[in-house]
Amino acid sequence: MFKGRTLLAVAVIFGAWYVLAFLFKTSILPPPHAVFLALPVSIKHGLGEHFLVSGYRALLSLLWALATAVPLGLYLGRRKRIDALISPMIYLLYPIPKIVFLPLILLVLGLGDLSKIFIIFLIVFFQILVTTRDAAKGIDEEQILSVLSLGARPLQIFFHTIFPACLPKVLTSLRISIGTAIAVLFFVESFATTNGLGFFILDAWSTLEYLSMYTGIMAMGVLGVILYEAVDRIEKKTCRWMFSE
Amino acid sequence: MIKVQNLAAAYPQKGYKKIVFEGLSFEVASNVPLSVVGPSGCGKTTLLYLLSGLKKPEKGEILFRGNTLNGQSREIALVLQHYGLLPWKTVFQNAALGMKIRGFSRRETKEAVLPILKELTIDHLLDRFPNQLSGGEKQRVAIARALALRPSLLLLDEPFSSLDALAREHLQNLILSICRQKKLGLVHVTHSIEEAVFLGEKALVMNEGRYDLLSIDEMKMNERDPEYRKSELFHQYCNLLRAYLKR
Repeated sequence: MFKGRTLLAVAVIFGAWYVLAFLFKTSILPPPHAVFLALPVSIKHGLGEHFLVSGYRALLSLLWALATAVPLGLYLGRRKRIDALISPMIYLLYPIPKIVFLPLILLVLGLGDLSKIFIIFLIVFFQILVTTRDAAKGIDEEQILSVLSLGARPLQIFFHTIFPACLPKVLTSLRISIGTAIAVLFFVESFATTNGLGFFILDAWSTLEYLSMYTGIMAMGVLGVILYEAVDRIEKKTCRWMFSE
Repeated sequence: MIKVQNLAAAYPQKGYKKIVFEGLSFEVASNVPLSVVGPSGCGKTTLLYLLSGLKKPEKGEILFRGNTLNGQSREIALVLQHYGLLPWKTVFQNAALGMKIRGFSRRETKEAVLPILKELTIDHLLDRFPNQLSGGEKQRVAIARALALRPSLLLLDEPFSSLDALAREHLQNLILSICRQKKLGLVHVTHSIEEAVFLGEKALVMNEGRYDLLSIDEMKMNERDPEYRKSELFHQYCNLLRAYLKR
């Protein structure tokens, strides 16, 4: 999982962290080794459970967004007239910061997981939708013609051409969405909940337990790494042709 | 027999239909190789799409072996100009795609495709992806895919246009021997007069609304070999086509 480049990235980040911690010499920015030493205490206080709850929320919202935005994006990308009808709606809704609807969403979906998952879904949905639609629009028409000339039916065209042609861009949009999902996750877990990494970080902050706060921040980073690594592995498995030389 | 009667083709363009060609009629025996030549935009590729059933005629009809062509026929296979290979499929998967789409079993597909890949000397590239192949190799995969469908008529759209001179000659020889060996009909669109003469016994010259079907078959396909290119007859036919194209 951790290859040379990943280790180098970790070394650079921790090196910079050490330098900053040394320069500021404040309890608000403890050095990395102190945070690592505080990990067992944080785990004892439920960091693992908070990590799993956040992971569950992020993963479910991303999967939900993929399951809805990808088919819709592919459909719009291949249907010019319908895309011309729907696109203005997308462009109107996409830039609106969906987070402003949080009070409404909390009112409708309640204070549980569903409202948090839904708001993350709503935000990443548009990122995946627009990228997928543009990927489907940009498919080389000769590739479609090629399978058509072999007598392919619409579903076969989809599975042999449209989906694999768009997959690399779908995965790119998923990578972008992971960053967004984790950032939004922190926000939605900062109130009306008692679990999740966002809650853990803010709780530690409010009680001035900075070491504990940083273990939460590190856990959030690890969550991101796991999700990014998973996407990379899926890409290597499903888009082998991109890595062939 | 391929019989084309009063054929017209058009493409929709900004609310109206742009006529590509009209009033095209000709007849050739389906086992006689036909080369289609003409300047860019005269409708050569469109004619090939009509013959393959990918496109419907605006007017007129095409009869293949006595039956009107309505849509795609299992007896006709098309090789597109830029090969039409799917980058995410390996050589074997690309070559087997037509059979897979037509519902052949894995065993049948393997049994049909592997000998063809061997015949085209690309059986050592089975697991490669198109981006790992040369232009000539890509073209062979595209031809293998068409041949795997066991067509009786092969349609080639400017098959060698992006190959270097040596690869082009080599593949022309290969097509010649395959068509001969498999008794395969051939309609091929080209910009190259030499290619048209080498691979055709008939040549359809499409030039600004004029259509001429010429016989260039004093030496039959079965008698031709690479040396044919150096013959006086070959050059005479080339000059004949050139003259028709310049008219």
